[in-house]
Amino acid sequence: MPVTRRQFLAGAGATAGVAVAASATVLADDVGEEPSPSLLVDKIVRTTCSPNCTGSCGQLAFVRDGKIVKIQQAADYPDPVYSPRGCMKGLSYHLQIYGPDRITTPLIRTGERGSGEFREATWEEALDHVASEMKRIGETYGYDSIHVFGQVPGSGYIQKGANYRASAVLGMSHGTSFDYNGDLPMGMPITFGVQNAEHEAKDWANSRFLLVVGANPLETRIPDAHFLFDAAANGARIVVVDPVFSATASKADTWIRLRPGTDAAFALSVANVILREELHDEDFLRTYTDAPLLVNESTGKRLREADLRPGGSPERFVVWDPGTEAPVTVGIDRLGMPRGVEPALVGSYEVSLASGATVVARPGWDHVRAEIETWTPEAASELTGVDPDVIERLAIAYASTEPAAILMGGGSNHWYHGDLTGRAYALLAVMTGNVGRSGGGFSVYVGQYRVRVAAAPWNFPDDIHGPIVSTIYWVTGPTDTMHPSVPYPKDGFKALFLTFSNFLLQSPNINQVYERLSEMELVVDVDHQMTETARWADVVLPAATWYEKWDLTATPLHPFLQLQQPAIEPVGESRPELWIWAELVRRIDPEQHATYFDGWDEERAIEAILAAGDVEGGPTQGVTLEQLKAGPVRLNVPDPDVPFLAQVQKLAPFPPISPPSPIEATQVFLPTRRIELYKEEDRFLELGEQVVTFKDPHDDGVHDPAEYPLTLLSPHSKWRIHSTYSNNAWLEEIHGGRPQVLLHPGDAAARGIADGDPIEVFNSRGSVKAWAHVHDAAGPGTATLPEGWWSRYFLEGKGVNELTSSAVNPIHEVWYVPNMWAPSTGWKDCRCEVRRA
Amino acid sequence: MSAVATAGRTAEGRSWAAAWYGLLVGGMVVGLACFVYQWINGLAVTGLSNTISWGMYIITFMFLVGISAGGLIVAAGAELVGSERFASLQRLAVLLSGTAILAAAISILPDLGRPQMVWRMLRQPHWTSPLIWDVIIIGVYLTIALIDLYILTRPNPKPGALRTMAFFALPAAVLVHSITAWIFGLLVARPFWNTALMAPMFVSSALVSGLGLLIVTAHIVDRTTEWEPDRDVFDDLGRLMVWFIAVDGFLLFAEILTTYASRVPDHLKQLNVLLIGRLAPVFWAEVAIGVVVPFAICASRLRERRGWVVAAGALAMLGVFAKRINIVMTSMFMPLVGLAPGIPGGRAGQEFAPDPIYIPTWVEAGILLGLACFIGLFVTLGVRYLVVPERRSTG
Amino acid sequence: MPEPTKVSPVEALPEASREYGAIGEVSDDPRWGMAVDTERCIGCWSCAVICKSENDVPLGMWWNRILTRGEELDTPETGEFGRLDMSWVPLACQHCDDPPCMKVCPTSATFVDTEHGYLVEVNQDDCIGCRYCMAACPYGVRVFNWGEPEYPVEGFDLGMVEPRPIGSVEKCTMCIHRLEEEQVPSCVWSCPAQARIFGDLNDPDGRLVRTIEDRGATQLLEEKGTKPKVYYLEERRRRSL
Ligand SMILES: Nc1nc2c(c(=O)[nH]1)N[C@H]1C(S)=C(S)[C@@H](COP(=O)(O)OP(=O)(O)OC[C@H]3O[C@@H](n4cnc5c(=O)[nH]c(N)nc54)[C@H](O)[C@@H]3O)O[C@H]1N2
Ligand SMILES: Nc1nc2c(c(=O)[nH]1)N[C@H]1C(S)=C(S)[C@@H](COP(=O)(O)OP(=O)(O)OC[C@H]3O[C@@H](n4cnc5c(=O)[nH]c(N)nc54)[C@H](O)[C@@H]3O)O[C@H]1N2
Ligand code: SF4
Ligand code: SF4
Ligand code: SF4
Ligand code: SF4
Ligand code: SF4
Ligand SMILES: [Mo]
Repeated sequence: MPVTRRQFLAGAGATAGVAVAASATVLADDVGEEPSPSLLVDKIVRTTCSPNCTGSCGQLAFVRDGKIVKIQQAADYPDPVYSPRGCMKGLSYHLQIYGPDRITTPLIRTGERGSGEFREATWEEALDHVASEMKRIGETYGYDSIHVFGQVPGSGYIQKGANYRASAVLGMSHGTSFDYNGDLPMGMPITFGVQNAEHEAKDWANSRFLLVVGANPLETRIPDAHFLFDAAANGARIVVVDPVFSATASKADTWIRLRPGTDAAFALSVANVILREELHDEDFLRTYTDAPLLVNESTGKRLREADLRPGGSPERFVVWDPGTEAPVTVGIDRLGMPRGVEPALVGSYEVSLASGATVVARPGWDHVRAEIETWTPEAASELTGVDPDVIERLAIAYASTEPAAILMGGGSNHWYHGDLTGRAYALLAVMTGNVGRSGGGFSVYVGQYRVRVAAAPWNFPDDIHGPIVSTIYWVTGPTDTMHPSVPYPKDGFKALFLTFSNFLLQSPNINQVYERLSEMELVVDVDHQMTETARWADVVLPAATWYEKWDLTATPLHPFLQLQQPAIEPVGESRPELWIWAELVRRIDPEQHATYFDGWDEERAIEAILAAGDVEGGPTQGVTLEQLKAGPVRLNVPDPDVPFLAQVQKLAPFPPISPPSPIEATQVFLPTRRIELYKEEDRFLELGEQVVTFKDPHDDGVHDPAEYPLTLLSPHSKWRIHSTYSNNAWLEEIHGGRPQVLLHPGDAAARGIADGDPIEVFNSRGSVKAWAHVHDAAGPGTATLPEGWWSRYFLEGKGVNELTSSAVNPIHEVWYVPNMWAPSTGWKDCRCEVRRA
Repeated sequence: MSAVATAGRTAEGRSWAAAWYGLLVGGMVVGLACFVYQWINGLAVTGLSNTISWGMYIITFMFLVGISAGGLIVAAGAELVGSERFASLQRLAVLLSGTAILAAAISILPDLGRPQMVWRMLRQPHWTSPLIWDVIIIGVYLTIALIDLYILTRPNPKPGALRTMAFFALPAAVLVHSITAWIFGLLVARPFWNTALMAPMFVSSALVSGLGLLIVTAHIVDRTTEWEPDRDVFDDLGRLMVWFIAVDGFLLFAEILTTYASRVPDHLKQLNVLLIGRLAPVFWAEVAIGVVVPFAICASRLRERRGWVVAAGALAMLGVFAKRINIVMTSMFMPLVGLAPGIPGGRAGQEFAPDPIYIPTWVEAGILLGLACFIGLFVTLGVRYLVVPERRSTG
Repeated sequence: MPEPTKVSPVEALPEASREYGAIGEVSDDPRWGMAVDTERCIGCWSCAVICKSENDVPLGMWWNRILTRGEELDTPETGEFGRLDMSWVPLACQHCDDPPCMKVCPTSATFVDTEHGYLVEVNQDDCIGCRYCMAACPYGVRVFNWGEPEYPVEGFDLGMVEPRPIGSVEKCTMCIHRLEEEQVPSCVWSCPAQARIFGDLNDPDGRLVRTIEDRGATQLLEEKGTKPKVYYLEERRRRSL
C-alpha cells in the first residue's frame, strides 16, 4: 500500500539529529505549513538558459534574499521526452552571475587598447560618450560605417532584436552571425533552397539508422543526446563518422575514422555503392528533384520551355519522356511529373530548339550519376582512409534501413568546401528518399540561428531594413567575388559595436581581426563577463544576464517557445540591451527614439512578435504572453517537427520559407523549385561544382601539407559554450583548466612530444602554446584544440583562432542573403605544425 | 643530549640540563602552537587530502603504540618466566611503555578534525568501531603501566604484585597492538590492510620497535647518568632482537608472498606500489634497515659489541617506522575505485587527484616535534626521578 | 517593505515541475535506492554539479562525480587491436545496506537511518573528524572539510541545506531533505540523459526494481559485501555493420 504524504512525513520528524535535515525554519511554521527540511526560498522563477548553445533549456532560478542560490531545470515540457533538458553548464550559471569576472559598471578605457586599464563610469557618462562618438562617426563616414555585431537571434529575439532595430532606424550596418559562425550549411540553400532545415531532436528516436557525421551530440547536444539511446533501444543502429574518437563515437555501434575534410569523397563513395546496388529511389528523384530536368550539354544550363518554342516560359523546365521519345515541360508551381510521364534520369537526348538548332541534353541526374560513378569505395578510400569494405557495408545498411537519418554537425560543415560536404550527404538522403519523413532526413545541427517567430515587426519596424553586411567582410574587406548587393560601406568600417559575443576570441584568423580592430575609431562591447573582447574595447557596457531580464527564445532542436524572465535585479549597474539601445538612440536621434524606442519594453515587444505570428498557420498562432509566463509553449509546427512535409506530402514547390527572409529572397536559390542536385549558375560551372564533387581542403593550397602536415581541428568543448563558462569555478575543478591539444601518438613521437608537454601549435597566421595530450583517440595527422578557451588559460597566444582561416568561398557569394546564402567560415579547414615549446 | 647525565650535579651539568629542558619545553611550545594553528585553520594546513586522508599523525600513532610494547612486554615477560635477566631494566622499560602509550593517545588528537568533540566518543560510543575498543584498551594499557610503575618505585616492592600485574599486562599488550591493527585490518575497502596477518604483524613489529627503543634509551641513560644496567643485558637484548626480527621478517615475507600468490588484481596493484612503485624506496629501506641489517648484527658476533646492538636497535626502530609509513600509504595511494579523475582533492584550488601525493607540512612536523619533545621530557623526568634513584638506592 | 514570506523550495515549484519531480507511489516501508544506466550516461556531470549546488558543497569537494572507464577523464582506453572504449560511471555514496563506514564510526555520527529508507547519513554534530569512515568506505565517496569551507560566491549561501562545519565529514545524503517532501534527489531530476532512476527497492512493482530485473544490473564492488543500494545498468550490446 502506498504511503500518504502525511504518513511519510510523520516518520520524518525523527530526523532532527541529521544536520542536513535540521534546517526547518520557524517561518514555515508560522504560516501553518509543515516545516520544510530544506532551506526556504523567496520564489522560483522560470526562465531559459540562453548562451549561444542551441539547448534552449528551461531553468528554474531559486531565489533567496534576492540572490540566485540554485539553478535547476524546469523540466516542464508538455512533451515529457524533452524534460528535463539542461546541462552542467546551465546549472552553474549563477557562478557566472556572481563570479569574479562579472562586469558590474560601465567602463571607459584609460590605457592602451587591450591593456585592461579602465575606469568605472556612470551610465550617463558612458552613454553620452558612446552616443557622441557614434554620432560623430555616423555623420563623418555614414552610419553604415558602424558595424553592429550580435550573435544568433534564437537565444533572445527581443534583446538581440534590439540590435537590429537600432541598426535599422539609425542606418548602421548590422553584421551576420550564422554564416560568420561557419554554421550556415551552404549545402542546404544550394540543394533545398533553405537557410537550413532540421528535424526536431526527438525525431531521432524514430529513426532506425542514424549516421552521425562531424557532430558530437554527446558533448554539444547534451540535452538531446539521449534521443540516440532511445533510437538504439528501438532497434536503431548508430554509426559515427569522425576523425577523432569522440564521446559520441564511444556510444556508436560503429565508429568510422575518416581523414578530416574528406566527407564529400566519403559520402560520394557511399552513393556509389547505393547506385551500384540499385538501392536508390528513382521515383523520389523524379518527383521531388531536378534529376530528370534536361541540361543543355553545350551551355551547362537547363533547357527551358522558352528554348523549345517561341513564347515558351523561361520558368518551365524540360524532361525527356522515353514513352513518347519527346521532351515534356514541367512547371515550377507544383512538384511531381505530368500524369503518365516517367522521365528519363540517364542518357543523352537530342532536342530541337526554337532557334532550329538541335542540342544534346542530358538529365541532371546523369551528370550526378557520372560523378558518383567515379567515386568507387576504393578510389575514395585513398582520400578518406576508410576501408572500402566498411563503405560497402555502410552503404547497404543505410540504404536498406528505413527510415534512416543523417545528422551532420559543425565538424563536417566548418570547412571551406563544407557546401560540397553538405551537398554530398544531402544527396544520400535524397537518393534514398529519406526527405520529409519522420525518422529520416538530412539534418545539420549547428547554431541557435533560426528565427522561429514573426520577428520582423520588432527587428525592422515599419519595414525599415538597415544594411546587413556579412561580418566576414568586416574582417577581409570586400572580396573580388563579393555579390554586388552586399551593402559594403563606401569608406569601409570605422566602428565596431559588439553584443552577445566574445568576438575577439571567437572570430577566424584573429590576428587579421586585430589588424582590422586597429582601424576602428570606436569599439564598444556589451557583455557581463570581462572577456578578451571586453578587455580590448574602448567602452564596456555591463549587460544583464538572462536571469536579470526579459526575452523570448527558441531553438531548432525543440519546438518550444520560451521566455527569459528576470529572477533577480541586475547585479551592479548592469542593464538589458534594449534599455542600452533606447538610451543610445535617444542621445543620437531623439526623433527615432520617440518613434521606435520610447514606450517599448520587452513585454510589449514580445506581444508584438506574438501578435504578428498569430495568424492562420503562423508560428505563434494562439500563443499568448500569459501562457509563456507559465512555461514552454509549442510553436505551431507539425509534431514531430519534420521539414519539407508540405513538399513531400503535398507536392508544394521547394523551398519552404526561411524566416525572416521573404520567400522571394530565397526562391532564387532554386530556379527549378525542386531539390537541386545540379546547379547551373555560372560560378558553379566555372568552378566545376555544378554537381557535387570532392575538392581538397582549401588550406592545403595555403599551407603546404609537407611543411604543415597536421590538420588543426577546433571542435566545441563539452565544458563550455564557446568561451562562455571558460571561467566557471565548478567546471574548472573538473576539467582542470588546462587547454590540451590532442595528438596521435605517432605524430607526437615523430616530434619528440610526450603527453603533458608544453607545445606550440603554429602556422603562417599565428601560434598558440598549450599542453599536449597524446592519445590514440586522435586521428593520425590531426591536432585537436577545442575552441573557446579564454586566452588567459594558454601558456601563450590568444587561442586557436590565431591559426584559423577567414578565406571566403566564391560559391557562397553566388547570391547574397545574409545568414542564408553568404560566406560560411571554415574553422576546421586549417593546417598547422606543432613543436615542443 | 648528555644533559640528563649529570643533571643538577655540576655547574656545567646544570647548564646542559637547562639547555636540554629548554629544548624540550621549546619544542613542546612549538608543537602546541602548531596544534592551535591547526585547530583554528583546520587540517587544511596539513598535506592531507581526501585521497590520502590519513598521514603522519596516524603513522606516528601506530608507531607509538608499537614502541609502547617493548617495555611492558619485556618487563612482564621477564616477570612471568621468572627471569632476573632484565630486572635491571624493568623501571626504565615500564616508564618507556607508559610514556609511549600516553603519547600515542595524545597523537590522535591532532588527527581529529573536531578535537573538541572527542568526548562524544564517550557519550555515545559505537561498539562496532575498532576505534572505541582501541581507546579503551589504550586506557587500560596506560593504567597498567602506571600501576606497574607505582609498584616498581615503591621502596619495597611486593614480590608478587608485579607478577600478578604481568597476567594483565601481557594480554593487554597483545590486545593493544591487535586492536590497533584491526583499526586497519578490518577494512574491506583496503585490501592491503584487510589481512588476517595484520594483528600478528603488528605485535611482532611492536616487539621489534619496542625493544629497539629500550636498547637505545638504556644505552643513552647508561651513558649520561649514573644508572647502569646489568652488564650482559645488551647482549641479551640483542639475542632477543634476533628472534623478534626473525618473526617480524617472516610475517612480512609471508604476507607479501600470499598477496603475490593470490593474484587478486587489487592486491597486486598495491603490492606493486610497494615493491617497484612510488613507495619502493621506503619499502626497501624498511627491509634493509629494519630487517636485514639489524638481524645480521644481532645474529652475528657483532652483537657482543654494545655499540652494534644499539645501532641495530635504532635501525630496527627506524625500519618499523618505515613499515608504518608503508602500511598506511600503500592503501591510501590506491583507492579501490581508481578511475579518473579520482577523488576530489578537498580544498579550493585543489583539483581531482588521480595520482595524489602526500608531503607532510611544517605544521605536521611541528606538532610531531612537540610530541617528541613531550616524550623526551617525560622520559627525562621519569629517568631522573624514578629510574636513577633506583640505581642509587640499590647500587 | 516587509520581508517576503519564505517558502519551501518544493512548495514554490511551478506545478508541472513539481509533478516531474514527484517520487510517486512507494511501499509502506520504502528502502530508497537508485539505478544508473551506463548505456544512457553521457558523462556530462550535470548530476554532479547540481549535487554541488543543491547541497552547497564547498570548492574542492564533490559528493558525486563521474568516473571515466578509460585512461583519463573523457579519454578512452586502448584495447586489443587498437580498439577504443569509453564509458562513464557516476559515483556517489552507494548507501550500502551493510555500510563499512557506519560500522567503524566511533560516535555513531554515521548511521543507518531506518526511518528514512535505510539511507546512510552523517550527523555532523556528532562527527569528531577522525576520517575513519573515509578509510573504510571502499568507494571513496566521502569528503572532509579540511579547512573553513570555501565557496564560489561571497556573502551568501548557495543551495538548499546548511553548510557543514570545518573538520567534519560529508557525503551524498540521497537528498534526504528532498525525499521528505516527496521529491526525487536532485541528481535524478537533473540528469539530462534520463539515466538515473530513483525509487523504492522494497516495491517489487516499482519502476526501479522492474528495470533492475529486466535490464540486469551490477553493484559496484559487490564482492566486498557492502550491499550497495545503487545499481548500475549495463550498456547495450553493439552490433557491427
Ligand atoms: N558543449 C557545447 N555545446 C555546444 C556548443 C559549445 O560550444 N559547447 N556550441 C553550439 C554551437 S553554436 C554549435 S555550432 C554546435 C557545434 O557542435 P558540433 O556540430 O558537434 O561540432 P564540433 O564540436 O565543431 O565538431 C564535432 C565533431 O566533428 C569532428 N570533425 C572534425 N572535422 C571533421 C571532418 O572533417 N569530418 C567529420 N566527419 N568530422 C569532423 C570533430 O572531431 C568533432 O568530434 O554545438 C552547439 N552546442
Ligand atoms: N576555432 C573555432 N572557432 C569557432 C568555432 C569553431 O568551431 N572553431 N565555432 C564558431 C561557432 S559555431 C560559433 S556559434 C561562434 C560563437 O562565438 P560567440 O557567440 O562569440 O561565443 P561565446 O563565447 O559564447 O560568446 C558569447 C558572449 O556573450 C556573452 N553574453 C551572454 N549572455 C549575454 C547577454 O545577455 N548579453 C550580452 N550582451 N552578452 C551576453 C557571454 O558572456 C560571452 O562573452 O564561435 C565560432 N568560433
Ligand atoms: S548551456 Fe545549453 S545545454 Fe546547457 S543548460 Fe544552457 S542551454 Fe541547455
Ligand atoms: S558508499 Fe561508502 S560512505 Fe556510502 S554507505 Fe557505502 S561505505 Fe558508507
Ligand atoms: S569522521 Fe565523523 S563520521 Fe567519520 S568515522 Fe569519524 S566521527 Fe564518524
Ligand atoms: S542524491 Fe542528492 S546528495 Fe546524493 S549525489 Fe544525488 S544530488 Fe547529491
Ligand atoms: S547527469 Fe546523467 S548523463 Fe550526466 S553524468 Fe550524471 S548520470 Fe551521466
Ligand atoms: Mo555555432
